[in-house]
Amino acid sequence: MEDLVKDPDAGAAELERLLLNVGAGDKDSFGELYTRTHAAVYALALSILSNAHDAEEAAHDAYLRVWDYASSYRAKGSPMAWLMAVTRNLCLMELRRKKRQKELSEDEWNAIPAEARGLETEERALLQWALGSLDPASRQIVLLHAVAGLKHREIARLLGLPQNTVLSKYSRAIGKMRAGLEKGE
Amino acid sequence: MTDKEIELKLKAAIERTAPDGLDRLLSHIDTGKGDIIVEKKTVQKKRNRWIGAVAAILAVALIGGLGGYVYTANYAVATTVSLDVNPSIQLKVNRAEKILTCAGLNDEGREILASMNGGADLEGSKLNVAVNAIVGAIVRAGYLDSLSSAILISVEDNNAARGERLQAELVAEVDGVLQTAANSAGVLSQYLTVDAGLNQQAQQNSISAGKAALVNQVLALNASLDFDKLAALSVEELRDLIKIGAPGMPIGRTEAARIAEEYAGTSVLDREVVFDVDPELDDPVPHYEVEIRYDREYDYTIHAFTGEVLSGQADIVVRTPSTNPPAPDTHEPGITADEAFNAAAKFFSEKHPELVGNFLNITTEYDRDDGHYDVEFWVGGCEFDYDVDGKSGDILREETDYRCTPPTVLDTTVPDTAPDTTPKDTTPAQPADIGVEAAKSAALSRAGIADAASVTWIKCQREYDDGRLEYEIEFYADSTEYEITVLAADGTVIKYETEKSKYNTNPGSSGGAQTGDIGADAAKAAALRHAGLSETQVTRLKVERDRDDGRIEYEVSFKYNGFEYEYKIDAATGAILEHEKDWDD
Repeated sequence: MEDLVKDPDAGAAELERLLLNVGAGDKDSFGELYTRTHAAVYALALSILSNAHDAEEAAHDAYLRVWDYASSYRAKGSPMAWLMAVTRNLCLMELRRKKRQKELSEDEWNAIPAEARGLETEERALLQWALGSLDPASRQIVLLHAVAGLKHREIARLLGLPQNTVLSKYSRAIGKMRAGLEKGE
Repeated sequence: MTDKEIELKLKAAIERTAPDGLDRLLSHIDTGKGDIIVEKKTVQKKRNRWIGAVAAILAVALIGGLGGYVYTANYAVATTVSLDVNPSIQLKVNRAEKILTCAGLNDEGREILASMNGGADLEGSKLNVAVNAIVGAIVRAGYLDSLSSAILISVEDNNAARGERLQAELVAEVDGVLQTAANSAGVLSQYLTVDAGLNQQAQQNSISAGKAALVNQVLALNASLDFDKLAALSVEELRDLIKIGAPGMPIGRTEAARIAEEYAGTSVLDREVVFDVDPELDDPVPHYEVEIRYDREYDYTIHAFTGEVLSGQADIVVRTPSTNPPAPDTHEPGITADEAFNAAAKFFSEKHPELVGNFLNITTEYDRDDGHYDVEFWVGGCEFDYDVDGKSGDILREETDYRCTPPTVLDTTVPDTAPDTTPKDTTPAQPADIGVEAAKSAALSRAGIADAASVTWIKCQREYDDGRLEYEIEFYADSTEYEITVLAADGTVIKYETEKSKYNTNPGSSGGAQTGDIGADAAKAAALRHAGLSETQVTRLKVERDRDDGRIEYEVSFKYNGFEYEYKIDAATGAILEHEKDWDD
């Protein structure tokens, strides 16, 4: 998978092209878009819904919406931010519908690595920190930056938070994860 | 382990964990098993939210043309659906779930429907198509822009099964429209049986039965409130009132706007300057946020129940710029500084006759960019600012949100007995003052600039603020604008801001294409130098290379002594583009 974080501009241009094609009904582009972005969509859904199964379903629904509404995307150079906004809104609607937001229980958490072959101990610890120990806003900020490759100002806009808050929460969250990893070493 | 390594590991872990659902998705798309979305695709109505209304109208035209045969057999109203934000729109629907009538119940509702021939274009169309088009138009009109805004969907039907099913379908439909618009407005919905009393209340107040039901919920919490006044509130206001137990009658958005305008002094203008009024009744201090756009954006907070102005700048208009244009052809002043000061003093004397003769001129400086004098003087321990037109001497702006010095500074020589009326006696003791040149030196030192000749001075103004004598210093250097405030007493820098200048003050950097990269080490050094710290003093030092607005930047952050420092540095020039220092909480 191309690293969108390393070259965000090239990644954004490519995603924009794929979205345009999806809007015209091109399934190959849809598949490519999915391959490039589904980890980020899933990560955001997981960070909001705190439940692996719900996150998978939300990601599924998000892509169905992308398929249906890609033609309404207005090229603004930030297709990932659009995709994240669609996903986030869908997840928030799901939360409203269920009127609950339970924390990921240990049992549910253990179900994830069992399905994910090759997840190293350190990676598992990172996920544990990212999803279990952080407050919901920090969790979203970390995943949106690290996995979706959004810039802090894009995250600030998406979450409706001041950029300073995003920056400081991000910094603290990364520090916390580092501390957790070093403690585990 | 670096931050970047942690990020990459997290990304890799998520990628390994994320289930691959592509085959399932493609299967849904191929077989048309997608949920509500597939249903939408089959009617081909929502290719683009911006043309949603047009598509709906075309669909209506088609349905209207073909549906005449069925139509006559379906005149009976089976369901009444209402959509309320502040626009209120009512749809009467037959058993086939097609629109019989569509009407705006208030002016805002009628305005929304104006582009749909007053709602007539939607008659005969499917209910979900019409709702989609209407909600799309409401979103486009900006009614649901605020995160806290809300739309209420009410379904009135004596057939409970059908009513509840339609309620669920319409909620999904509206959610879809809002999601596509990346809109986070709340969606409220209710199912009601037909109630003659409720409908009568609704008709009398030109609102929907659904909104009348919401008003009744508020009245159940506080029977002393007035139905008519509540009916005029938006759904968002009503929802928030219910949330906070309806402690009283809010002043409403119109009154909040009027109070803000009166406070701002813009009510005398002959143009609309109130841009937005956002109710925040469920805030710990219930209030309305009023945004006024005059020469720039001004925000006002008005208490939702008392109408008190909680925050905002008063009297932003003294004389309207339209009648006294401040922009001279040349930037040379037509009047002298003394004349400008006298004009301000005269204006002040007329407005505050009780204070005449007691003021001290702090500074009168000409602002070349805006063509006006900035006059500041001190009266009775308070500082007043005026902008005086450099050509005509007209008062362009008066800052009445004035700053006053603490009494301990003020009370100096006034005796207990007969008050001395000379100006000297009402002026404070002059605190220590290092002088303008020393203040400039302190500012340059803080900015890390050794060569004063490389600096273009904009402003060096002495003024009293918070009871202290300060120098406000502005200058350009190396394509950066500096705003620095220095305490006159000892040269301490108490405010430091930089901004990448839009003016190119450095002939060596033409502002053209980016040509080089100073590297992470140089960026780090620039940030540390700027903060006056060494690498060994700080913790959590982080340097990231990023691209923003087509330019390569370094983001440098570190912590020191309970503060968090963040810098953005231009990779090509090493210039500090942004700088922040905040408590590390």
